[in-house]
Amino acid sequence: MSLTEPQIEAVHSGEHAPAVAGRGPWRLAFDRLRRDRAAVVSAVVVALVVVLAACAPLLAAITGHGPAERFPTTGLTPEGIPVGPSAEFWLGADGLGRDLLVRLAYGARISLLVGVLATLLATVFGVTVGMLAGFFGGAVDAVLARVLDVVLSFPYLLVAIVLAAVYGASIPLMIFVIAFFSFAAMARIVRGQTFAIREREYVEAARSLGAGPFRTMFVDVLPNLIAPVTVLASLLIPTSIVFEATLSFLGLGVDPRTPSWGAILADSVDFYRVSPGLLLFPAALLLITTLAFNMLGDGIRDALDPRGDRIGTR
Amino acid sequence: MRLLEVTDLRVSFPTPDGVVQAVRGVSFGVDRGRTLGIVGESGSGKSVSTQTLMGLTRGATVTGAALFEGRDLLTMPREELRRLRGARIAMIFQDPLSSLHPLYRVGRQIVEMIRVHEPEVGREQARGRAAELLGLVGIPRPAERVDDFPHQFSGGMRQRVMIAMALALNPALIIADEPTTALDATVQAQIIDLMVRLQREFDTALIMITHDLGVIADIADDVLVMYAGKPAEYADRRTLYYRAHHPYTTGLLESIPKATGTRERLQPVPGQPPSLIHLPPGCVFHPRCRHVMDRCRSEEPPMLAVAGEGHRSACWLPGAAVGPGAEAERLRDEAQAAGTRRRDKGEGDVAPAD
Amino acid sequence: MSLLRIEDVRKYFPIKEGLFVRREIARVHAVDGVSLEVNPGETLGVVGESGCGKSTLARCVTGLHPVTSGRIVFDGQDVTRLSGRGLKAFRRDVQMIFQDPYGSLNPRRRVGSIIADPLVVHRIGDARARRRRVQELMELVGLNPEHYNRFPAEFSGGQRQRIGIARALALKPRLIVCDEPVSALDVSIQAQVINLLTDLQGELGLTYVFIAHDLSVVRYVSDRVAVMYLGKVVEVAPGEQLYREPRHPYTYSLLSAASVADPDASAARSRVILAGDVPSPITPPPGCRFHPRCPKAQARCSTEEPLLLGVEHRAACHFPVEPGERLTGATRSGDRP
Repeated sequence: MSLTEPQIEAVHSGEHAPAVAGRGPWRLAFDRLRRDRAAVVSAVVVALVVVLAACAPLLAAITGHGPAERFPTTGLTPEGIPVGPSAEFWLGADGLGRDLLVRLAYGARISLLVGVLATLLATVFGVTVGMLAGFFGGAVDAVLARVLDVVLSFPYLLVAIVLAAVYGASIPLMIFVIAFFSFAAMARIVRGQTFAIREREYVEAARSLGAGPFRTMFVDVLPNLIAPVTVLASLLIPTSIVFEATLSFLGLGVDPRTPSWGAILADSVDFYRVSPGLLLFPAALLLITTLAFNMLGDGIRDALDPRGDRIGTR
Repeated sequence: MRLLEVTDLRVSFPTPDGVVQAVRGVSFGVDRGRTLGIVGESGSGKSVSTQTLMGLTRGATVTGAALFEGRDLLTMPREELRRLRGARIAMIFQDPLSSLHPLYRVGRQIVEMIRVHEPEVGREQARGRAAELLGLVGIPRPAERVDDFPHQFSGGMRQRVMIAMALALNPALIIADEPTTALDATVQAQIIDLMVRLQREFDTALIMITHDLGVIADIADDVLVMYAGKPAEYADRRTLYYRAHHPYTTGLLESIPKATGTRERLQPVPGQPPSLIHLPPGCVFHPRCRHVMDRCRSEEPPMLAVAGEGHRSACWLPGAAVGPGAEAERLRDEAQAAGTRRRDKGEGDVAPAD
Repeated sequence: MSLLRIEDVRKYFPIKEGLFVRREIARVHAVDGVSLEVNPGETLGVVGESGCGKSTLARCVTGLHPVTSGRIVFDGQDVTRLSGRGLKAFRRDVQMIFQDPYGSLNPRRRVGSIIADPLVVHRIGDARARRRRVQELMELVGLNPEHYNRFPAEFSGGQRQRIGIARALALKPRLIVCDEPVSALDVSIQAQVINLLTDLQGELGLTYVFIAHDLSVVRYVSDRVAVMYLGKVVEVAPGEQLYREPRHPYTYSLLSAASVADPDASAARSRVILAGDVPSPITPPPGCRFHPRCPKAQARCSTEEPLLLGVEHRAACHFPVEPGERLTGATRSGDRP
C-alpha cells in the first residue's frame, strides 16, 4: 500500500511542519535527488566525463601529444604494434601511434556535444509538436500524429548512410539525424501528457478567466511538462551518445580524422588481440558514461515523481 | 471473548521526507452482530488501521496485537492470512471497480472465490449460490445478471455485487471502508438499508469506516473517533452524538449544518490537521482546541473513562463535562481557567480506564 | 430584475462512432430545457445526484460549454453567443469556484501568480499593483499574505480552496458559480469554507449559484433551491419551503434518503427507498423522467411531460405530494426492465 493523496497532503502541509517557505516542487525534487545515492554517484561520473572533455587540451599539453599527432617511434614497437600503458602514454597508443588518452578526452567532447545538442534539438521539436497536437487535438492532432508515425517507421540507419554519402559526414549533419529520429518519441509522450493536463481543472479555470490558448499552453501546460520532459531528455542523451558512436564506428559519423569514441573503437578492431586496452578503454568509457546518464535519468524520474507514476514510460 | 480485539496498534511508514506515523496506539474491538463505526478525516489513520489488519500495508512498521477468533492477525503467516481474507473476514471498498476484475463475468468471480476457499463445492452449485447471492442483495433477474461484466452494472449495483461477494463465504466480520462515499444519496440509502438488513440476518460483525457522521448515525452501535492517528473518543452511538466529551468530536458535530435548517453560524474547527511526520507535542489536537489548557501542550492524554458507561475520551477536560449543556460548558470553562488542574483530584468519580 | 436568466437551456454531448467518418450515433442529454432565474445578492442552490446535469449547467453559465440551444441572459444581455471582447467582459463579471482543490490549482506555479492570473489575463494594473491586490485578496480569504511565494502543495485542501476563492474574487465579479466547492474537503474544514463564502457574500454583495449534492450544505447557504433530475429542473422553491414541504416526489425521496448526523432524527423519519438507479441520460424515459422510479407514478406520467408550474414554489409533477402526505416508496429495489 502507498499513501493516498490526502495522506501525503497531511504529511506535507500540516501546521507543525517545519518552515518550508519556498520549498516548491523543484526544490523538493532536488532534495530527494540528493538523497539518492545511485543518482549522486552517477552525477559525479557525468561530471568527471565533462571534466575529462574540458581538460582535453590540458592533457595534450601535459603529455605533449596532440590528438591527431602520430608517434611512430615511441608509440609503436619496432614491429609496429601499439605500446601499452606507460609513463609516456598513460593509456597506451593506438595503431597509428597516437595517444589513446588524449584522443579519448577529445572524443568525450564530440560525444557530449552531439549527445546534448541532439537531445536539445529533439526536445524543442518534440515538445512543440507534442504540445500542439495534444492541446488542440482534432485535425491538428490527426495530421501531426500521422507525421510522427511516418518518422518512427523510417529505417534510420539507411537514411543516415544515404545522407552521409550525399552530404558527407559532419557533426551538424549527425546532430540533425539523431535529433530527427529521437524527437518523435519525445513528441508522443508530450502529446499524451498534454492530453491529460488539458483535462485538469486548472486549465478549465484558466479558460473561464478568459485566457487564450497560447497563454494557457505556456503558463499552465508547459510547466507541468517539464518533469516528464526532463526525465526523457536525460535518457535521450545516452541514447544519442551511443547513436553517435554507432554511426562513427560505421564511418558515417564525424570526419574519420576527428577523434570520437565510435571511431576510436572502429580503429581498435585490428589491434585488440595484441593490445586489448585499445578496445577496453573506449568501450568502458562509453559504457560508464551511458550507464551514468541512464541512472541519473532514473534518479531524476524518481525525484520528480516519488509516487511512481512512471512518467515517460508509456 | 470478542470476535476481534485490537490492542495498541501502531503503524508507521518510512518515506523520503521522514517517518509517517499513520496510527499511534489504537485499540478497539467488535462482537458478532454489532457494528463499530470508525470516523475520522483524511490522515486520521482510520483506513490504515484496518488495512493493516488485513495485511494490506506493505512496507509499514507494525506493532500491537489484533486477535481475531483468538489468533493474532499481525503475526500470522501471510498464506494463512490470505485464506482468512474473504472467508472469515471480508472487505468492501469505496470503489468496487478496483476490486472487480473488468474482464470476467461477475458470476464467475463469485464462483472462483467460493471454490478457492471451498474446493469441494461444484461449479454448478457455486453458480447457483452466486445467483442466489445477487438476488439477496437486491439485483433484479439475478440468474441472468450473473453472466454480466462489471461495467454493465451501475455504481450502486456494483456496490451490491461487492456486498454479495463479501457475503459469499458467510464471513464472521465485514470491514467496509467508505462503501457509500462514491454513491448518490438515494443509492446510499439503499445500500445502507441493505447492509443493516443483511447484518441482522447473518449476525455478522461489521466495521464501518467513514468520514460521514450521517452514515454512522444510521448504522453504528459503537463509534470510535480518530484524529491524527490516535483514538480521540469511543462511545455508543447516542452518547457520541448527544453527550460527546472530546472537543474534536464536538467540533465535527458543530461543523455540519443542522438538520433543523437554522442558519446560525457554523462553528468550524479552526486550523488544519497536523503533519504526521512532525506531530505537535502533548495532545495532538491542542493547536486547534477551543479549550486548550497548559497541560495539553506537554502531556499526551490517554483514553480515559468519562461520564457514561464505556465512554472513553483522550482529553484532559473533566470527565463530567459531556454534551452541549450549560453545566458541561461551565465545567469546561472552569477547567480551562484553572489551567492544569488534575481531573482525578477535581472530579473524584472518574478513574482512568485501561 | 434578475441578474442571471437561464432560458430553456439545452446542452447535448454527441457520442460519435466510426473509424474514418465520425458519425453522431447518440447524444447525452446533459441539460435538457432548464429555465432558472437568479436575483442579485441571493444564493441559488442547485442540488441533484451525479449525472443530473448540474455541473454541465454551471459550465454553460460560465461560458465553458457552448449551449446547444436556449439563452443565458446576464444583466439584460444575451451572453450565449458572445465572442472576443464581449466574452472577455462577461468573464470579468462571472467567475467559478471549482470542486477539486488539488486539480484546480496548477501545481507548478506559485500561489501569488495563480491568484494574479485573472488580473494578468485582463491586463489590470502593473506588477506592483497586482501584487498588492493579491496580498489583499489572500488576507480577505484568510490566508497569510506572506505566503504568496509558496506552491499549492504547501497548502492543505481547505487552504487551497481559499486560494481558488481568492482567484475567483480577483476581478470583483458579480456572480460566482460554485461547483461543489466543499465536497472534496474534510468535515471540519467544510464549515470554514462555508463561513468564508457567506461572509464574502455579505461583504462584497456577491450573487452565488451554489451547486452541490449535499442537501444540508445547500440548505444552509441557499435562499432558493432548485432540484435537478436527469437534465431537468423538477422543483424550485425558497429553501425552507422546499425542505419543509417538498412537492415533487423526487425531492421528497431525496430529502428522506439523505443521512443526517443525528441518530434520533435519523431513526424517527421514514425513508423512501427509491427503486433502481437513475436512467441513462442518453435515452431518458418518455413523459416525466422520474416516472420509472416514482412511488406516485400513474399512466399519464409515462406519456405526458409535466411542466414546471407555480409561482414562488414550482414543481414539475402531475401528482405532487400534498402537504402532510407521507410517501412510503417502492419496497422492491432493483432496476426495471
